[in-house]
Amino acid sequence: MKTSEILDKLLKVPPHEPERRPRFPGPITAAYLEEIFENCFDFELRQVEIGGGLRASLCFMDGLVSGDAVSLTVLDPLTNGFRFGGCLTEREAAERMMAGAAYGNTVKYRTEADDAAADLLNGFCAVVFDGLRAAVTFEVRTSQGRAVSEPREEKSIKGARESFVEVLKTNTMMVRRHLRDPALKMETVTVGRRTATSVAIVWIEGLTGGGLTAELRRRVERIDIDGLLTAADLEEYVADSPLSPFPQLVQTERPDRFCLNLLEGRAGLLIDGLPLGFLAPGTFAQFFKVTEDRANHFIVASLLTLIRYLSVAVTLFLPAVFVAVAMYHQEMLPAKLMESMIDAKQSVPFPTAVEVMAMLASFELLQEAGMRLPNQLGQAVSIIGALIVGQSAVEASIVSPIAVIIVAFAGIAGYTMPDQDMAGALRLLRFLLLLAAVFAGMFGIAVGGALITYHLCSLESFGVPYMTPLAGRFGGRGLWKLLRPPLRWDKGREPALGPEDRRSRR
Amino acid sequence: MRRLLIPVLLALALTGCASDFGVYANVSEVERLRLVRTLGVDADESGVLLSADTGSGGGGRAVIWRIRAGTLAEAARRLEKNAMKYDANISHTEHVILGEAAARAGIGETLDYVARTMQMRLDTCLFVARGSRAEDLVTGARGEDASVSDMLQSLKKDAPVIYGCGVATCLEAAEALASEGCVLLRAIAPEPSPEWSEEGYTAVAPAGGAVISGDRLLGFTPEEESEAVGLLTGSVSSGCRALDYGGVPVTLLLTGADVRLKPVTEGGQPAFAVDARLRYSLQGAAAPLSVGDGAVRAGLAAAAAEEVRGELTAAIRRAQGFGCDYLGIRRALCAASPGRMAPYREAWRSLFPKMAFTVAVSAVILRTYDLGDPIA
Repeated sequence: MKTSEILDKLLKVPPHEPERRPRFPGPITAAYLEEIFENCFDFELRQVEIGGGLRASLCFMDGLVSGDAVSLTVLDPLTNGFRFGGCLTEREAAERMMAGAAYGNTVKYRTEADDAAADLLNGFCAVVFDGLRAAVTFEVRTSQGRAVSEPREEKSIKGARESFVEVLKTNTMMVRRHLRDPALKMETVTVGRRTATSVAIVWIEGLTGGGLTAELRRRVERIDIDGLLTAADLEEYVADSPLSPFPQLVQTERPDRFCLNLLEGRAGLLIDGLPLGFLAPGTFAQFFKVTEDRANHFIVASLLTLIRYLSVAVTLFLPAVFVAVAMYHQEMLPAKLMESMIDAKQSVPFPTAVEVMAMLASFELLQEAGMRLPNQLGQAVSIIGALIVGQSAVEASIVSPIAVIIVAFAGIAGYTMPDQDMAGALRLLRFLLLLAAVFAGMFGIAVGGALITYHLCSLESFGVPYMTPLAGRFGGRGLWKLLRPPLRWDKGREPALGPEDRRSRR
Repeated sequence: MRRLLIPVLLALALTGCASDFGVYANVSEVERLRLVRTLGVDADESGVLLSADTGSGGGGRAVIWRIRAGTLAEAARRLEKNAMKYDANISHTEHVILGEAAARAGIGETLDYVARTMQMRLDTCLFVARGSRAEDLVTGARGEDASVSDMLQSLKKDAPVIYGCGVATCLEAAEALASEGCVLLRAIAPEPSPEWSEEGYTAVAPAGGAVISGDRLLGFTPEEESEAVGLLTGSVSSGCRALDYGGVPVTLLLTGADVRLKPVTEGGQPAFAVDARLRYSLQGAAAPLSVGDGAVRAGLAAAAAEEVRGELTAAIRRAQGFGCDYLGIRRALCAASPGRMAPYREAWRSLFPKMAFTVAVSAVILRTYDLGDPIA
């Protein structure tokens, strides 16, 4: 029995019912569409007289379509006697519409009510012929949406300053503008029983490994959920090990980073409604790279990457090592530092473990409060929390200055992570390592570190070892790619990704 | 994962951090700790008396403990597990002082304890209290805001520069005992009311060297020979020499020394020759000296060389008198000429006491720091 089935049983979740397709079987009539969209105030249906005297029903979802587009591309030509005057039957009128008598870039002939309903919800309007029991649908989607803006999380000084938005087509347009290659393929899959969200699978034909694209498509198509509204709705179903705290899909809000990864041999996902691009497979090293690295000199970029790796060790181990040393291994510190620690702790009423745990918890609290509040208020909370409360706590001898320094240093080191999901995983593990240190000192940390390493080495993302190129089948190959090699020398694509075109430049 | 879990849980139970049932049992909170900087070891018929001093480095007053037990390990354990206001922590011990009686009884137990105890460091400096008990030094040495630890800290830093030769660590002592069978440790003695301090203070003063052979104290060398010992062992880096040059007190500063030993044969018997080349600078003179004059400089250098030659000879003779090569002469000769020394390696201990030797010393005065009268 699978874990999910055991959980279902424990939580008394009702049994799974396979998705019913089509949801609205039968031919299309205006009455049937009205029934489908009963109690939907934004559903509009009006009778129109087509040029020759025939009657049809025009349906659309108000708000999803552009009123101007409906008037200009559908209503105006339909009511034009010159265009439709000679039509004696509904079929003839429908055929003329499909042939271009009514304007519209995307026109579809629908005979199933289910398809027509899906079109209406995707920004189409439908001209329904009851006698024909069919409809002609036109794409008249409104272009309203957030304008392309600067990335908020992945800022760049030398790079492009555009980020993905919530509209899928705008995102695909941005990707196309970066990669003007007909080999760039985009295929959409609809996910979510109720949200019917379009998910675009993006890859470069002849470069991305065929197996990777097929596997990604298989996993996306397998998702059977009510709605795809957040990143986790996709990630948790697509990732190899969803229980792992480590992210297994690279997320980016930058189209240039998205394209750069496509060029490395990864496959991408763009989701309608999410201003993010997802890339698979995600490897550990990938979460330490930023687009800015490519823009900087290779020595500077490599040093910065090294600092990020060092920061992982600091953010993960520093509080735990401090507690272990303070509680169990006092001999590890130089005498003078130890004496400073002893002096600083003299009037603090709490044990070191409690002190550091409380500080870390407060740090998380402040961070959470800062994130949930508007920018200006968030900054105020940070200042009050970090400076005023922190200093007051030290002055009131509730915490020792060295504990504040350790926790602050570990926290700041965590902020060097370019990926927030990776930073979150490290924050979680920092607490676990701290607990290990409290109960077993350095031995606990060693065991904790070994378990984390074991877990990382056992992870795979789409068949690629997560710790590539440090470990796994491809361990040791292309180790320099962990940093930022000079571009003239970095000619091969990562072999672990299995690209069909293995060389990237002359 | 499940396969890993069992060994990990078993290993947790075996951790050195777990003393009783819980892994939390070995914990000690830092605010209760006092770092022991100096341990004094005395021995008599009833066992070991361990005295400990924390020093005043932490900004507070030095804390002193005294524990008596059957063995050193037991005394140290009782010191750490005491039920006093503070927890003594010996992991930062920098100095171990052996009382003269304890050193005569043997230093093996102390070295063994330092080597085998996880918290203790092998770079802990080893001293022998000359003519007194270690306890007297640990509890008696007091200065302005200073305890024995602070004084030893200062002595250790200054020893190679001011006092002629450095201080041996436990590791160095153990290595020398293992390879040469003997070692020369720094001897210290209490100095009540030194002229530089206020009334009532007791300082710790260097008192020559303590000759350890096997693991027992054989005797002491005088403090005046310290520089010669330092020159022969290579641990001296600087030092002042007071000379009387034609009735004028002169102070010379040793700025460099090159001492070479080589094996020779004298009358068919193995012997060795010591060749020391010293560089001095004139630090000061009680009356004006014409140091620009080559003859004056040569005279000063010759006087210094003659003094050093005498001290080197006396130091070697003393070592031969003790019958142990604590000066590391065999090692130096082997390094200089391994082939020639090969036949004598095994019989060195019996050969050394009666081995003939020659000492040649040359000195040169290089500069005076007197910008008005520079020496090229």
